[in-house]
Formats: sequence, C-alpha cells, structure tokens
Amino acid sequence: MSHRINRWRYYWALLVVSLAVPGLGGCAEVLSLQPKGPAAERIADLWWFQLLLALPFFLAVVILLLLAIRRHNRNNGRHPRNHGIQMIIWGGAILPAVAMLALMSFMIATLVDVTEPVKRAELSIGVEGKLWWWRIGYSGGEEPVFTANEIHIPAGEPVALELSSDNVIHSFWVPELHGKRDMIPGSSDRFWIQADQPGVYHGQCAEFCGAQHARMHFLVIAHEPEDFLSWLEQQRLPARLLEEGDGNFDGQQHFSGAGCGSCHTVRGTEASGTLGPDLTHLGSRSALAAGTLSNVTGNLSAWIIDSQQFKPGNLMPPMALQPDELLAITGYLESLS
Amino acid sequence: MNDPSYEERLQKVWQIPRGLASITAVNHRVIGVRYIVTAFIFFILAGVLALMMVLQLSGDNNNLMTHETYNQFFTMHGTTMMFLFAVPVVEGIAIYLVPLMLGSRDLVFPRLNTFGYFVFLLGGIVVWGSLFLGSAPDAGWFNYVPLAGPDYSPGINIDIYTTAISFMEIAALVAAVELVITIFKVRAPGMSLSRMPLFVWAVLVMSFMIIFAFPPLVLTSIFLAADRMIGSHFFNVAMGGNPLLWQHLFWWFGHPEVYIIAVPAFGMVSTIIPTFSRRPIVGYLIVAVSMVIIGVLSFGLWVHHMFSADASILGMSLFAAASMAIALPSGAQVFAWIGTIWDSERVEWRTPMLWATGSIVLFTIGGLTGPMLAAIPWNWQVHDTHFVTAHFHYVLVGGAVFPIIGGLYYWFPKITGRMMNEKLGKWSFWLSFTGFNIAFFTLHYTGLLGMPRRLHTYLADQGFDLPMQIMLAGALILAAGLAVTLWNVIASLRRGAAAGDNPWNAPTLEWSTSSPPPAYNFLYIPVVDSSNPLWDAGSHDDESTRGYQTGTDHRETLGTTALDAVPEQRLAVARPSIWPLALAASVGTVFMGSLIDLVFVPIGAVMSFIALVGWNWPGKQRRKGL
Amino acid sequence: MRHEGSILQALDLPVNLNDRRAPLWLGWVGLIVIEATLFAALITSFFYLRASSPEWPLGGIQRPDLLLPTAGTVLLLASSIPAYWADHRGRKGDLRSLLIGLIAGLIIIAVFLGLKIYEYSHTGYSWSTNAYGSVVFFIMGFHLSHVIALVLKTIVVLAAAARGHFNQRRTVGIQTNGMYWHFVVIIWLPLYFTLYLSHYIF
Repeated sequence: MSHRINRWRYYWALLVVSLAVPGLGGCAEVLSLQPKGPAAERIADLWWFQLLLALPFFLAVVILLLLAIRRHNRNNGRHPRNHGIQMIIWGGAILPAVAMLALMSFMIATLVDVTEPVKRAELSIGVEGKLWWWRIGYSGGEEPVFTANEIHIPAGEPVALELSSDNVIHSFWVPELHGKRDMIPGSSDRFWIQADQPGVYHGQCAEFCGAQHARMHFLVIAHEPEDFLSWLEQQRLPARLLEEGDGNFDGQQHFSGAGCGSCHTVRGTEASGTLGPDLTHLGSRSALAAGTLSNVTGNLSAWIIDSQQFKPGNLMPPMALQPDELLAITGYLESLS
Repeated sequence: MNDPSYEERLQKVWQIPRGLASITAVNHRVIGVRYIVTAFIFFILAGVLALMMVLQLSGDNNNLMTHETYNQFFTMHGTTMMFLFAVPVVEGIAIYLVPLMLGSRDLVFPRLNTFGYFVFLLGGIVVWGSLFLGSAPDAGWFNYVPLAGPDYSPGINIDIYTTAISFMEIAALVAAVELVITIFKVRAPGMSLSRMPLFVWAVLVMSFMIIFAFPPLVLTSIFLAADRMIGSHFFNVAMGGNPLLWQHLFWWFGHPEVYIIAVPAFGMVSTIIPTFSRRPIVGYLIVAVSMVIIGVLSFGLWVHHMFSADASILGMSLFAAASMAIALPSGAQVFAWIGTIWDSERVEWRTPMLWATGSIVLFTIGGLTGPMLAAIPWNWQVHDTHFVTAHFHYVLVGGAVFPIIGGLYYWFPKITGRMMNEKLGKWSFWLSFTGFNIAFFTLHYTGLLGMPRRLHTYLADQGFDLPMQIMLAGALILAAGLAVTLWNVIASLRRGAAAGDNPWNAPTLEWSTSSPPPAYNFLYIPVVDSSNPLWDAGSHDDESTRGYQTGTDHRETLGTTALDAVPEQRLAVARPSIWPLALAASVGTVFMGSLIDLVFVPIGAVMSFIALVGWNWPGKQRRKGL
Repeated sequence: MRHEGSILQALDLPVNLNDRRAPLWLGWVGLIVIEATLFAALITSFFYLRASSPEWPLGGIQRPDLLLPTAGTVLLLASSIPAYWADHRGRKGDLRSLLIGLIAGLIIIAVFLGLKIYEYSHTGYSWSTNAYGSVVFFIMGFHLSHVIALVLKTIVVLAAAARGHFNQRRTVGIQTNGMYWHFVVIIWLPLYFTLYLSHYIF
C-alpha cells in the first residue's frame, strides 16, 4: 500500500483547512463585530488587528506543512535540507514575539479607551442579577424606581451601571455595545455602556447561573435624550389606585387577593413584594420573564396560571385562579403602562 | 551467550498473576493498560453525552431533554473528559511507556500506581453512577460558587463532585511523584538527561506540574465540601467568605491542568514525527527546554479565566502578557515538528504520522485564538461564549486527543503484538479531521454571533439554528471517524498482523524488546550512548554491550545516578499485593462514605491506617537480610 | 535486538542503597512538597479572605493571645531535638537510643497536641461561626492531622524497630521518619506566623 499522501487527500486537506477563510468572511454578520457603541467599536478594531496578526502564522504553518509533504511525495531521497532550526527561531520565537508586542500595545490602548469613559458618566443605573431575571433601578427623585429586564438609556452618552447580585454569579453582556462584566455576590461593580444611536440592543446573561440561565435575556433601549427623560418621568409615576367602578378594579382586587403583592410591587397600591419583578409599568414592557415570552394577553395569562411550563424551575409558583379572576388580573396588569 | 535458566528465573519472579489473582497485579504494563482502557471507556461515554447535547441544541426551543438533564450532561461531559479521560490516559500511557523507554523492568513503586488505578476506577464509577441515578454534578466542570454552594445546590449532586474530585486527585498525585522518581532513578546506564526520549521529558514536566497544581484543587474542593456538609463559610458572602477564592484556587490548578494534558501529547508528537521522518527531531534541546518553560509559565496565567470579573488593569495585563508569551514555547515545538519533516530525506505517511501531523494544524488554530482570548477587551466579548469552547476544543482535541490517538496507533503493536489496519486508520483520520473542523470551526462563529456557553436552549431569532445544525453534522462525522478507530482496535486485537519487535523501525528502547514485552521487559538492562539508541546501534563494532544481568531472587531493576545514569545499585521493587486495593477501598470509604454519613470519615481513616501499616510492614524478603 | 556484545553483572552492585539515593527517600520528599503546596494554599486563602474583609478577625472575634501558641511552638521545636538524636544514633545501629529518643519526642508532641486541643476548644468560635473561623480551624486542623499522622507513623517505626527490622545496613525508614518529623515542625512556623503573629505585625 502507498505510504505517500495521494494528491486527492492532499487537496481535501487543503479544502478542509481553508474553511478558515470563508468562515471568517461570514463574520461580517455577527453582533460583536457590528458595534453600535464606542466600546464595542474599539473592541471590534482589536479583533481585526489580531486577526491580521494571526492569519500569516496560520498560513505559514499550513503552507510549510503542505510544501514539506509535497516535496516528499515527489522526490524521495533528495538531498536533505537544514532549515529546521531557522524555522524554530523565526517562527517560534522572533516573529511571534514581535506580533505579541504589537498585540499587547494595541490591547492596552484599547483597554484604556474602554474603561476610562465610566468616569464621565452622569447617569447611573442599578442592575441586579436575579434568578433568572434582571432588576433595574433608577435612583434620584423621591424614591428609586424599579423595572425589570429592560434598561432604558439616553443615546450618545456613557451611562454607568452599578452591577451586583445577591444570589449566584451572573454576567451582564450586550455584545453590540460592550464586552461583558461578571456580577459577583459580595461586590458591586461600576461598569458602563454607551449606544451611539437610539435603538433596541439585545443582552443575555453570560455566566452559567443555574436552571434557567438560557432564559435570562434583557434589552437595552436607547432613546433620544429628551425621549429618555419623558420615559423616566412616566416610570416614576405610581400606578393609579383604582376604585369601585373603574374598569380594572376587579383585577386590582383579585391581584391583591391572590397574594401577588407578597412577591411583586405595584407602586401606589399595597403590593410591595420584592422577590419578583416590579410590575408598576408592566404594560410598557415588550417581553415577559426575561425574554421568554412576548408581552401579549395570551402569554401573560398563560404565564400567570403556570409559569413552570415556560420556564421550569423559576421561582414563581403556578397560581390557582378561576378563569374570570385570571382574565381580570391580566387585564389589570396590561393596563399598568 | 544466553543463560536459559536466567531467562526462566526472571520469568518466574516477574510473572503476572492471572485470573482472580490479577487483582493483586502491580506490573506497570498491566496498570498502564488498565488506565488506558478505562480512560477510553470514559472518553466514549463523554462523547455520547456531547452528541446528545448537540442534538438538543440543533433547534431553537428544543425539548429533547429538560434543563436539569442538559445541565448534568454538559457538566459530566467536561468533568469526564478532563478528570476521567485526559489526565488518566496520559498518565496511563506514561506508566506503560516510561519504564520501557528508560530500559527499566518496572516503576520504582509499583504498588503506588496500582493504588492510583483503583482510586480512579472507584471515583469514576461513583461519578457516573450518579448520572445514571439522575443526580450528577450540574454546575459546570469548574463548579463556581455560590451556585455550587449549599444554598443554591442543595442536592447531593455537587457533593459527588467535591468528594470524587478530591479522591481522584490523590491518584494523579501519587502517579506524578512516582514518575519523577522513576525518571531520576532507573534510567538505562548511559542515558544522561540530555539523551532521554522527549516523551520522557514531557512526562517529567507533566509530573512536576501535577505536584504543584493539584493540591490547591484538593483544598478548594474540601473547602466546598465543608461549606456544604459541616457549615463552614469559605464561600458564603454573608459570613465573610468570598466566591472568588474558589475561582483563584480552581484556576491555579485549571490552567496548568490543560498543559498537564497537552505536554505529554506534545511528547508523543515529538516521538512519532521523527520516527516516520527517519531522522532525529530538529532542535532536541529547544523542544525539551520549551516544555520546561511551558511547565513553569503555565502557573502564571490563571487569572485569564477571570478577566470579566473586575480586577486591576495592571494585574490583568501581566496575566495577559504571560498568556500570550506561552505561545512562544508552544510555537517553537510546532516549528520543530514542521522543520523535522522539512529537513528529512523521506517520510512514511503511516497512520500515526497522519494523526500527529493533523494535530499540528488543529493545535495551531487553537494556539492562535489563545492570544486573542488573552487580549482583555476582546476577552470581554467572547469569554463564556462558544468562541472559547471552539478555542479549547481545538487545543485539546488538536493538541491532545489527535496525538493520543496517533500514539494509540503507534504503540498498539508494542502493547498487543499486532498491527492495526492501515486503511481503517487512514479513513478514521480523514473522517475525524473533517468532522472536527466542520463542527468546531463553526463554534467560533456562533460565539461571535453572541451565543453564550451552557445554554440548554435559545430563541428562534438569534441566528443560532443553522450553525448548530452544521455543528451536529460535523459532530456526527467526527463520531463516525472515532468509531472507525474503535472498530479497528477490536478487529486488530483478533486478526491484526504479527508486529515483531520494531515494526516502525523506531529508535527508542521500547522497540528493542519483544511485542508485547516479556513480564520482565528486557532480558538484560540495555546500555545506551545516544538519544536514538536503536538507530545508532549499527554504528558500533564489538565494543557493544548487551546489557546488565540483574538478580532473580526477587524483583529488581537497575538503579542509576540522577544526572548521568551511572549504575549504582539494584533496586528491589514490589511484587503482587492486595494492599493497593485495600488502601483504595479505605480511602474511598473516607471520601465516598462521607456522602452517606460523616461517620465514615473516621472509620475510613482507621481502615486507611491499617492498610498503610499492612502495605509498609517489613515483608519476607526484607527479613532475609536484604 | 543486538545479539553480540558482553553481558555486565549488576549483581556486583549493592541492593537498595541506604541513604538519600534510595527511591523511598525521594518519595517522602515528594509527599512533603505536595503537603507544603497544600499549606501554602491554605495560608494564601487566609490572607485572601483577610484582604477582602473590612475587619479581621471577623465578627467581633478578638485577635488571638500569643502566650499559649508561642509555648506550643517552642514545645514543637523542642521535639525535634530528641527526634534528631534518635535518628542520628539509630543510623549507627544504636536501637536503644532510637527507641528512647523517639519516645521522648512523642511525649513532647503529646503535650503539644493537648495544648492545641485545649486552645481550640476555648476560642469561643468554630469553623461555622464565619469565614475567619473556617479558615483558622482548617489551618489548625490540617496541621494537627499531620501531627497525628506523625505520631502514628512513629509508633509503627518503633514497633518495627522493636522487632529488629532496622540495623546499620537498613535505616531509610528511620531517616524518612525523621525527615517527616522535621517537616511537621518547620511547616508550623509559617502557620504560626499566619494564625497569630500576622495580627500584630500588619
């Protein structure tokens, strides 16, 4: 049997290994490389720089190997060469050292650029990782206001985020805007993000945090600065305490009767629990359960009656409610915009 | 002139017990094969888990398994591959090969490795047993707290992890100490350190790394077990504990761990490539020194696993620089291998050579994404995403699994006396190489798309569906390729062609004895005067020495000086014994028994004391006045 | 396989050299290195937890008094003297001195153990009080388990010596016991610094 690599195998190797190049071409579609904020832009620049440094080494290894193979296939027993030590010195020491120095320099410059802006941030938002959702707090005003799973910010300026967790380690990550930062119980961390333009940016927990780590999404919603202020004003308003005769009064009563207020807060009413998300402005949010379901009537009802079927293991128990109670509660919650 | 009764007496005193009595066998080749076979069984089991995980991920919102099952599967896949396959298999190969490459009859403490194997087996059975009972560890192979602590993982799952890991690390530690001492004490006369096979250098570096890397892991596992079982507060923030303490202690172990796996694999590549290039490796000294540099430098990298936990920029940058710098000694070895092929006169492309060469390409890809990951801001984007998963599979599969399989093809003839099928071997390689690249190159892409690790499902609009399906296709091809090797092993055991002493015409000492070697390894302890003894043998005339005749009253091998291997003593080594099993069962009672009730800890301790006394108590041969 | 050539006789060489060239000697060195690494990790954990805490000791615990611990340290150091002497005489074949020396050393160790057990049952806190208690008790517990192991090991060596196992030609077991003894004593010094002195120095 032949102990040379026949040329078809050789072409196959070439093909498989060259998957690298088109594979990288597809990278233009990816979130981390389509930055929407200055931090992610600088980091994307770093990626292209290091890719540029890495490709020659990869090609050198592959080409040298293939040339070595090809040479032996053709000319067994030719006069031996003596280039090995040179290859080691250049390929294994000098050139990589130069490349590393360049990469370190670029990296340090990038590192400074993506950490310094936090000092200039005027607005500071509290972000707490929970099991398995995000508690967002805006201070200022008479009392802080809390919402869940959506972080609204003004576009075009750095915004500070006070990251924390009182349970397990989570990690805050919005790839279009910045890298990630871990939220470690016992220490609070001042991070920052900035969106250049208004828009909706997707984020997801990036440190395995237990049963429903996979369903811990959130959104960063950037507004024009004036729109952000009016959004915040709206959020600061408590819910209207309804009275007999108001459309959703029954829903409000059933809500407290079913004990929902022991876990959830609706500011302006007696409901003041903090185990679950603040529902004061639930109607204004686009999704439920940290991105698990979109916030429409059917989903909301289904979630309330048995959230375990959508997000098993989450901390909300199924609720024993009559159909009319459920309908009323759903209507009431949807009205809380 | 052969003394036939010398051979008979050697055979008698070195005889390997058969049947039930084989539980007392201590010969290094028996233990080595047991380690290798058991490790590969765990490899297959972990691979099956991976296929099932990839199936689950092949569509958004899939429901093939619950999140509980998925979380146990991914934890068990990582834990099994790292603790039950990768380290045991390289240790097993080392246990098998090192005495043969050194020209020795056995390791210096045969019972110690026997004990290590039983510990490994018992720990592995307990861990996998827990999976079949649905209570396997489920917080990831690096098991971060507070998730793995008593508050958030109240079941027995994590207790299995803490006890079994600590227990099995003992096996690795004793093997490491034994290998270091063996390498320094029983090398063939004339085999100075600079003439040692590169694989032996690799094992030496690996062993030193184990000695310094594993104890902190044992410690932190005990800390966690204590937090969970007796109410201590090492990681409990409310009472002054710190979850980052776990991360630091774990990764102090965890980073060297991957080089503990990779360095012996590099040693195998450094053995296979020169053999089939029909010339000594280019830059022997550089390669040996590079492995030592990797061994030392790898202890300075660990914080790169924690870059996204806020720390000082200066501190992190030092670790980043070190993490990039380690690519240099690795790169030096890659170019030494390429240079050896380049500079050779002719190359034989047999199956082991294919696997070794293919590993260079894969390892290079992984070795290039490594420094990328070391660049801190970029790390913040891709840490905990599939980009990292792609990176470490490239370096581990490329830098370890492919060389190990190449080593399997290379040394199978020596171990079994039969050749493996070349055609099947080549098919296996091409399928595996192709499938691996399809599956894992895609993961770089999904990481960049924004897909975090350890998700049991994902949303429909994230764009992960197609890449995950491509990954599934690649994984199936890879699995098919590996299955061909498994078939090849089984078929060749029965019908493989007879191998002869040295089917590859290789230069190192293990090929100078029969295949498989006799129970005493070498009739006469060989004398060497070069680093490629079998190639340089022909250049001598009748000055050549056949070797040293040793005693046959008891098991003994030749002890030589540490640096220059000058003969200085005959070393008595242990014969078959039940004490290793007894001690393994006793220590196992301490760790595994604690899962049932803490009273087993003192009970097991007493049992261990008794077993240790039994093991070390002076035996018959000592009373004979030796 | 070479079939020519002379055969050399290993039988001319001694069996099992009786000094640090014995593999057993290096084996104990290996074990000591592993344990030293473990203790280094323990000490590091102590200072790491200290660095991440606002006060140290935690939870209102007072920093430890120095009298008893220092006395214990002196005792432990003292135990090395008869142990060293026993080792020295034992290597010359003087079994009687070996026995006397080791027993004397064991008695001193027993007093040390008693002192430690007294000290740690009267601290007012335990490993489950807070992280400070956890790390202190673990450091102490690891060291004490090494002391106990030393005691048990020495008893076994004594028993073997009493049965005439050791003689001038075979003393590696005695030497390694002595090595381990000195390790247990010496490793206590950085632990003493960590658990007690460090509170007073910085």
